[in-house]
Amino acid sequence: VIARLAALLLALGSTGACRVTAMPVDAPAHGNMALLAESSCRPGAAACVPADAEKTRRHDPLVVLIEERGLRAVEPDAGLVRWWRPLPVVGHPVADASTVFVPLRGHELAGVDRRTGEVRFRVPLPGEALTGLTATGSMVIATVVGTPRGRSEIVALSGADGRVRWTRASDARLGTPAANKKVVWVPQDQQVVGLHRRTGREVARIDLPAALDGRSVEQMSVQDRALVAGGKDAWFDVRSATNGRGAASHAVEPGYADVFALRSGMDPGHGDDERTRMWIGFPDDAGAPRDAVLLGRRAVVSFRLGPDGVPSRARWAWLAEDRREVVALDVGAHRVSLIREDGSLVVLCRNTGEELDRLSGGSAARGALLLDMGHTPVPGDARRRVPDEIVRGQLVRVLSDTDPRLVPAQKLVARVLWRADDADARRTVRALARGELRGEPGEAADVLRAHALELTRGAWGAEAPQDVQGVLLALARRPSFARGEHPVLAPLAREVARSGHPEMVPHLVEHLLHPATRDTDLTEIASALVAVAHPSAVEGVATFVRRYHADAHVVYASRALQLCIDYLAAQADAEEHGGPEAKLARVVLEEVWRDPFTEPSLRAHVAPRLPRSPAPDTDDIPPELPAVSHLGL
Amino acid sequence: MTLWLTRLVSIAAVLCPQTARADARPVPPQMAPATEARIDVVAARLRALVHEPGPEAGRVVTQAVRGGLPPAVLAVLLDVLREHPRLDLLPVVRALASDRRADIRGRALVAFAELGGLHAIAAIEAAADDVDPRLRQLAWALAQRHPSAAADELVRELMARDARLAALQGASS
Repeated sequence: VIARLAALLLALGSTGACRVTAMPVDAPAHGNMALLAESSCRPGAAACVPADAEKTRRHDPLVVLIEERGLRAVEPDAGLVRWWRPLPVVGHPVADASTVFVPLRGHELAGVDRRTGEVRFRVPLPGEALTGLTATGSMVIATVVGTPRGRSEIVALSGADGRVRWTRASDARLGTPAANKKVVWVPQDQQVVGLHRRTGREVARIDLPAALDGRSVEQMSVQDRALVAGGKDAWFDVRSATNGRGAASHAVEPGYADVFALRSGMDPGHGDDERTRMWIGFPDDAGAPRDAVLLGRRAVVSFRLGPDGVPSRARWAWLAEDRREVVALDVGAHRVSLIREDGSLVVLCRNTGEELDRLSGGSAARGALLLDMGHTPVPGDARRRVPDEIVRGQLVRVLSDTDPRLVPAQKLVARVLWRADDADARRTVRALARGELRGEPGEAADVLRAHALELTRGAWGAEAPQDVQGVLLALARRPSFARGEHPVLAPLAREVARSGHPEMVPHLVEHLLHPATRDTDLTEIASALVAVAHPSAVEGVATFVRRYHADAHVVYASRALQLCIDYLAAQADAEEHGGPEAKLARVVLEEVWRDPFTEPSLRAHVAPRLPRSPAPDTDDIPPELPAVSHLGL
Repeated sequence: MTLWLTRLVSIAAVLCPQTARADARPVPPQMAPATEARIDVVAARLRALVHEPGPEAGRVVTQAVRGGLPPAVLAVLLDVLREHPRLDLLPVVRALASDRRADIRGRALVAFAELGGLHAIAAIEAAADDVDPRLRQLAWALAQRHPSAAADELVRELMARDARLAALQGASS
């Protein structure tokens, strides 16, 4: 009997059914604007809910709006205000299962009952200013600056009554802490210090001078198995560093939004900078692409982030129909929740961006703490994907909006459009670069145009480096009877068109001019040059067009010459290039049009593509005959 | 010497019979009669320029070729250059040796080889590496016309690689 009882207890223990602690340890911190690590669950996959998420789902979702005069808690499911409390909030509140911990003006901390809004305690904090807070099973940890004992201090307070459990002083500047069951992780300049949660004893210390490129760690994030130290737009994944699976140091391509708030030692509260922020998801495999969501004031863009930190494919984009901004973003397993500055709530499907719910606001909110949101699966959502043309339409809508506040989101949109394997998407970015899209005067349009110009000068597509190297090696082979080389170029040319790497362009040009290149390959090569549209090919293409424009055999053998004319016309039109390439392209087009020996169908192709000159009325040979006249005839 | 020259011309004629004689070419599709007439004029002018001494004539010819000319004109020009090799027109000949049309390439290589010495070896090497079997056959003919140890070596290597050409030459000899 004893053995059976022991076995039963063991079984219960192993499944967690007899666990006594009900406090979640992954309380959302800082209005959920900070980086949140997540498991490898894909939205819609019911069987992969993280254990901690399961635990937090026992609590009703709650939105705590930070208003000018206090806190307002709203039940999003019912659309009812649960409580309102007039508190002078500064900094970012955090919460655990039962309490919302609110930093107050006067350097105080209040514990507010999550269900009723009753203020359980209100205690002064040591030091002069708060750096950050985190809540962890029955405790709240604060980092402060300006203490008599040193520059900074870590303070652990009871979550029940606010009494100080332990403190630790530090000479170094501290960041926003995070905690798991046993350890409190505190950023300390370029180190991360692990302290025992109950005693404050140091149990770990990690040096990260190189990981974040010399920057200070601003914030720690702990969730599931992930432990992440981050600053601005870079982060260090301690889990990857210890298990060796994937790179530990990561960064997002700069210029769109920060992933981590820059605190510089003090929590300034919900500020303007939070309205432009990037959320990153962490898959189990550190090398896998990440989900990311950019909040850009009135726009939200969901996209994939490559291992190189460069945004790749967009999944969907949402744009507010009016001028109100989003002040808080929460990305749950299945839903994305947005709080707008009028206090309204918008819930989107994380997978498709479809609007699932909307709750009108009462009064203005400058920030929000979203608790236990977005974990309810969306019916029929699994494996759904928004068709590319719809996503493209959403992105173009964001790009076309003249609101200057959208520039960071629009830069990201231009980036993902440029990386798409879709010629139409690229055309949008080229139109932006040429001023055909967003041609209005103004600084925002200028910034976007400059960004688009920079993009169009580089590669497009999202090829892995080893694939690029493989294509380059294959392209370097030239047809040769002696070496038995007869490369099949059409698939390589298509690969170049897909990846768009400029270093492949010289190889394409050499193949274009090589006499042994097959006619079918020639068409593909010219198509690729049109697709990549890199100015470095102008000289080679000009040689090709000059050499063969009077050769009917070559003109009719493939579409290469017509495509080369298209390429030159695009380069001649490209005001931004304005250099010798554009000039050469214009000269060649003009020459070919005027040359009496030009094959007539090719001249007809050139005629409407002559840049910045009146379109000729006729395809007839012009009266001037320079090709003959320069021979002295 | 005359025999080899005759063979070369016959190979060139096989490569592109329509340009073997400038006056025997067919009219390209949709080519205006006025343009066709100009081909003869331009070809005649180029022929005169090649015979004209001085760098200015060479510069004009180079410019004309760089701007692009119909194959029939190029064929005439290369035939003239074969008869009157001009070192200042080497860039023209080299450029035309990589033309897509095998007949133009062949004529250019013949004219290239007529410059003699290392140019002949370079022309033989280029012909021997060409993917067109007719050009490889031309390599053999050029090696006979411009004999040297290097040319012999190139032809030996070519015959070792190109069984069809080796058989053809074996049968003809």
